[in-house]
Formats: sequence, C-alpha cells, structure tokens
Amino acid sequence: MTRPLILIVDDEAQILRFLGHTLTAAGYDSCSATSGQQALDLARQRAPDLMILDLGLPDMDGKAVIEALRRETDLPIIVLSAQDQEMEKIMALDLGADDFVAKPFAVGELLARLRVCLRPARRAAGVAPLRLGPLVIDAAAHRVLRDGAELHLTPKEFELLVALAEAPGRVVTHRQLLGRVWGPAHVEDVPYLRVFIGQLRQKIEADPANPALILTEPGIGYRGVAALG
Amino acid sequence: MNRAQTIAQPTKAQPTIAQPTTALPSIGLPPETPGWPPAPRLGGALATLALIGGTALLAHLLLRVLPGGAVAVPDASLPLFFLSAVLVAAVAFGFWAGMIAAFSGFATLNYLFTPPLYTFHIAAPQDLFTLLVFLLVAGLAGLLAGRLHDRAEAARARAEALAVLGALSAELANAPDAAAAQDVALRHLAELCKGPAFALRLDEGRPQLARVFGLTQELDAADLAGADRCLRLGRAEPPTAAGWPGSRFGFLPVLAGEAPLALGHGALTGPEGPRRALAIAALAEQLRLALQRLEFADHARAERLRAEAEATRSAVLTSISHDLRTPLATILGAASALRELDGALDPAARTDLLRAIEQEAGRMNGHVTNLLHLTRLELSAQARRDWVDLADIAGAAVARARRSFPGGDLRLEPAPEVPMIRAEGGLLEQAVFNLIDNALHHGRGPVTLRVSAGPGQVMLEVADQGEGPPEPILNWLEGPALRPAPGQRGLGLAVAKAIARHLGGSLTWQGGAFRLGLPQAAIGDPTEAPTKAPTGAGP
Repeated sequence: MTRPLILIVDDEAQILRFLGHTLTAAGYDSCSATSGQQALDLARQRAPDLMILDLGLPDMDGKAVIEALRRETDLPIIVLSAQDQEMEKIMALDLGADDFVAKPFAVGELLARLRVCLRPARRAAGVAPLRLGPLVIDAAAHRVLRDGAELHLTPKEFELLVALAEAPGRVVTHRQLLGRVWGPAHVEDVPYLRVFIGQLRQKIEADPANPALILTEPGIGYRGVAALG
Repeated sequence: MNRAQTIAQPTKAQPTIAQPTTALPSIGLPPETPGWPPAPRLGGALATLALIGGTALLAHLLLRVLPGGAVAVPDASLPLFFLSAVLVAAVAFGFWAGMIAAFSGFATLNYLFTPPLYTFHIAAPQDLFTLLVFLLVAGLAGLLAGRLHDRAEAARARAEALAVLGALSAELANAPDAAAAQDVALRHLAELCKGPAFALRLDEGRPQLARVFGLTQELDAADLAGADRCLRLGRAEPPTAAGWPGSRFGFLPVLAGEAPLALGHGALTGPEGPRRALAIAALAEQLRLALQRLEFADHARAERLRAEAEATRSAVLTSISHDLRTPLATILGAASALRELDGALDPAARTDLLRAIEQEAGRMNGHVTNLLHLTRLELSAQARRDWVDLADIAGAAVARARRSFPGGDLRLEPAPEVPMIRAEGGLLEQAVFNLIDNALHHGRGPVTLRVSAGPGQVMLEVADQGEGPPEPILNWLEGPALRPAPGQRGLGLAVAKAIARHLGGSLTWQGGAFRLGLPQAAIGDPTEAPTKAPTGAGP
C-alpha cells in the first residue's frame, strides 16, 4: 500500500527536521520546501496528498501560496502559525486552508488534524447520512435523530449543524458559517452566530455548558467533533 | 500655580481677547481733530513773512522799475501775486501761516501799491473785498493742507505699524519654539511702544519676569500689581498716567500654552498712542496664535514619536517572539514525537531528534541571555567597570563560539599589546560573541578577529567575506535606537550595539568588518589605581 505524501513548507530547518522524522514514523512519506515558490513547484510536480504550510515564508506570504494553489487544486492544506497571528490564521482559512495548528505544537495534535484532512470527504462518498457524534442527520428530509429520537431544529440551526457535520473535525470559520447560512451580506455578524450556536447546543449537547459536539475555536470559528474511527 | 484658575481664565478672558481682533480694521485711521489746527511754528511764520516780502519786491520790480519793459504787467494783476504767496504759505506751513500771509500780504499790497500809496488807508471799500478773498483762500488752503498733512502722517504711522506686524507675523511663523516666539514678539513690542517690553507669568501665585527686552529699571510693587491683575483677570491693564500712583507699564494678557502670559510694555505717548495700542493688541493676538500653533506642533511631534516608538516596539516584539518560539516549536515537537511515536522511530531518527532538542535549547538560551542583557542595559545606566584586556575578552569569546558553533571557520589574529580598558568583562564578551555569531550566520567564509589600538581607543574588528549587512541595518547601526530595526532577525547585533554604547564606545561597519571601538581613557573613578598603565604600550 502506498504511503500518503505530505509536503512540508517551512523556512526553519529544525522544524523540517523533526517533522520529517515524525511523519516517517507515523507512516507518511514527506518532502519539504523552504520557500513559497518551491512549495508551488513541488505541489505541481509531486502531487502530494496534503500540505503543511508555515505562513511566515521568506519569499512570499503564505496566504499567497494558498490562493495560488486553490486556483488549481483542492489539495488539503494545514496551516502552521504563531499563536498571536490570529488574523493571519483566519484569512488563511477563509482563503481555503483546511485547518490550522498553532506553533508550538505537540506532534499528536498535528497528526490528528492530518488524519481528519486526509479522510475522503463524506459527501463525495455518496448516500450515507451525515453524522456528528451520536447525531444522524438526514439532510434531504431535514431531520436530525439522536438515538432514534427526532430533535426539533429551526431551519437555521439545521443548516448550521449540516455545515459543521460536513467537515467533521475541521475548523469552519465564522465567515464561512455566516456566509453559508445567512448569506454573504452577513459574514461580519458574529454575534448572531454565537446566539444560534448557543441554541443549537441546548438542543443537541448532553451538557450544553461543556459542549462535546460543537467545539469553539476562540476568535476563529467552530469545529464539529471528529467522527470516530 | 492654581490649576482651577488656569482653567477658569480662558473663558473669562475670551471677550477681552476678542475685542482687539474686532477692532483691528480701524488701526491707523486718523484720530478725530477737534478744535483749532495746531499753531504754526516760529520758522513757518518767519518764512511766511519772508515770502510776502519777496512777493512785494518782485511786484515792485515788475511794475515800478521796469514799466513798459519786455514784460508789461498790468496793475490789476497785483493782488494775484499776493494771492499766490498766500496760497503757497498756507499749503506749505498750515492754516495759521496762511492767515498771517493773508493779513501781511493785504497790508503790504495796501501800503505799497494801492493809492493812496505808503499809507494803510483803505480808500476804496472794494479793497476790503480783496482782503476777504485773501483770508478765504488762506483759510481753505491751510485747512486742506493741514488735513492732507495729517492724512499723510496717519498713513505713515499705519504703514509703520503694519510693517512691524508684518515682520512680526513672518518671524513668528519661523519661530522654532515658544521662547523664540516670545523674544520676537517682545522685540517688536519694544519697537511699537518705543520703550521696554517684557513678559511675565504667574509662578507660585506671583508674577515673575519670564523674558525681557530693553527693560532697564526694576519693576516696583505697583507694576507687579498691574501684571498680577492682567494675569489673573485675563484682561488688558493700561499704564497709569504720569504723575499718578500705579503701574508705569501697560499689560496685555496672552492666553496660550500651559500658563497665561502678560506682555508688559512702556507707556504710549504722543498723538499716535491709541493707534499703537491697537497695533500692540494685534501683536498680542498674533503671539497667542503663534504660541498655540507651537503647542499644537509640539503635541503632533510627540504623538508622531510615540507612534514610531510603538511601531518599533511591536516590530521588536514580533522579532523576539519569533526568536523564542522557533526553537521552542522544535523542542516541543521533537519531544512529543519521541514520546508519542516511540516505537515507530528508528534509532537514528531518535538520536537526531534528541540532538535537535539539545541544539534548540542552546539556541534558546542564547536568545534569552541576549534579551536579559538588552533589558538590563535599557533599565540601568550604570556599568560596572573593571580593568580588562580586550585581547583576553576576544580570546574568551572565540573559545565560547567554537564550543557553540563547532563547524564555524573562526580565526583570532595574534593580538598586539593593547592598553587595558575599563569595562564590564562579561558584557564585552557577550558583545564580541554576538558579533562572531552574526558573522558566522549572516556573513561568508572565514571569520577573523583583530584587536588593535587606535588614537584614544582600542578596537576589535570582526571581519567576514560577505557583502555586509543590508541598508536598513547599516542605518540602524548609525542611529540612536538600541532596539533592533524592524525586520532585523535576532537580538545579537542590538545587544552588541547596546553594550558598546553602554561602555562609552561605538559599533560601526567599516571595510567589511564590524568594528567595536572602546575608549582608552575610561570614564572610571580616577582614585582607583589601574593594575596596568591605561595609556601607551608596555615594554
């Protein structure tokens, strides 16, 4: 069986060094680039399965790399960024990055994100109903079942739930959720979103005060819980 | 001074200040001239009599001595001669001179030329009419001439005041600070009032002289009381008339800046007084505007500096956080990989990860050390100074650099005997180490250290074969900023520069090398005996 190929883009040799060992040990092949241009070239030549991209590159902005790549491919991209670069992170996600890991990080966290992003998209897989933890979502019938019992959600709550369940384990930004559920005119109305997420949690979470199905990424967005297995 | 007063004053004083502004257009209008025109001077009266005499002589020559000659002048034109003289006298010397000319001219005409000759007897009543015409012409011409004269005088005074105010506003606009603006205003004020000019402000509740122009006498209690009223009430205080008790000087308030100012000036005398007072009020207003402008400019400058400092601080913070976070990311990542993927890692990878942790921990230690040095140098102005030999320091730094960067090509040229200097050895070693670190990582080829003595200083050069630092870093190196320039990675150079400055020396880039120059004659305590002669090479 072929091992997935991961492209690591970072200008720090030491980071490339430990990530290389880590990915090899975790069962991936890896190749690395130290500049934005090199990253774009390698992404075209080697067709990697996933890219780990540091946003601070010497030759070009990491966001520009994402923009350029998104015009050609939907290669999953995990962004590495410093904790204080929240704006950068959000912009990268809105430009089409799939997820982010804040530096410094333990490799366990990175590998978990990697697995989520490498899992084939469920929608594409076909007819199976969406799931989010114990919830079964029948998008066509607008029904949500929890242990066989139907939950009553408003249309907006339902759409929110679907948006999060479609990308299990991945962060979805405020803008992405607002744009999808309320439309492009409302992408800045984060307080709306907070209210609706709160209502949704009241209905679906076992303990709404300690949500387990919809997780908050402070300042960035929300993350539906990753599917088991 | 009392804060509440300062705040209360501007509102109270507003109408007083506004008043001169509204009165400005009337500056230089001639004052009303009530009563009689001024009496003629003696010179004017004598000249008038001489003129009449001359006219009589001319008339005598033309009519009596040369009758029927080349120019035949009829007797009937005689009065016209004298009328012309009257006109000339009135225009030239004023109303009263004209009157004198009219009377004396008529008398002469009557005595010399009108029959009966050589008597003042008026034979024909119509001759009286001649006198009447003379008087009328003389009066009208004299009054007109007097008014013209007054107008001209007023225009001259106005031009003078405007010239002063014009020069004032030009100079005020160029005044670099409040003191200069006040000096400019005082100089022109002295010119306007033809006397001393000075500025006072309240200091601990009492008016104190702030700036002075041409003030020779001491201010007495009455003067100070006038200034005090002006400052406290924010209104103009005119000088007391001569001979009465009170202030000898006038005071005008200038409400600008942190404390109000009173402009004192000598009393205004002469007919131009009211006009000059208006000009002086305009001057005070201009000074107020200038001071206000300077104050705003100061605020703007301070604000700009603050914003620049803020930008630098944020750039430095970014740089420091990058420096610290990068090794930390490797340490955390490698350590977690060792723990979580323990079984899956092959031995070589495990060893490499451990080595990465060790190296990055060392790198981080270097950053933290530099950060602490920089913080300490920024906080304290005091350097501990011992007698040290720069060559020894260079040797120690090279040894440390060889341990830290085993692969680096590092050469220390044999040092000549150099004078010892007063410095803190640990700091100096860190500066040299940072320069080596910088050369090894950003320069090229072998890095060479050279110690030498120059006039008044000892120098250490760290040379490499690279192109040298980029433009922004060179500019930063010459500038006063200790914190690194935006975009400058690492604190090494910044710390080296800070240490050089701290020890009274300099860090420059010259001829492909960073040169650390340290003063030979230390600023240190002269009572402390050196262990080695600080000047001149030893035997």
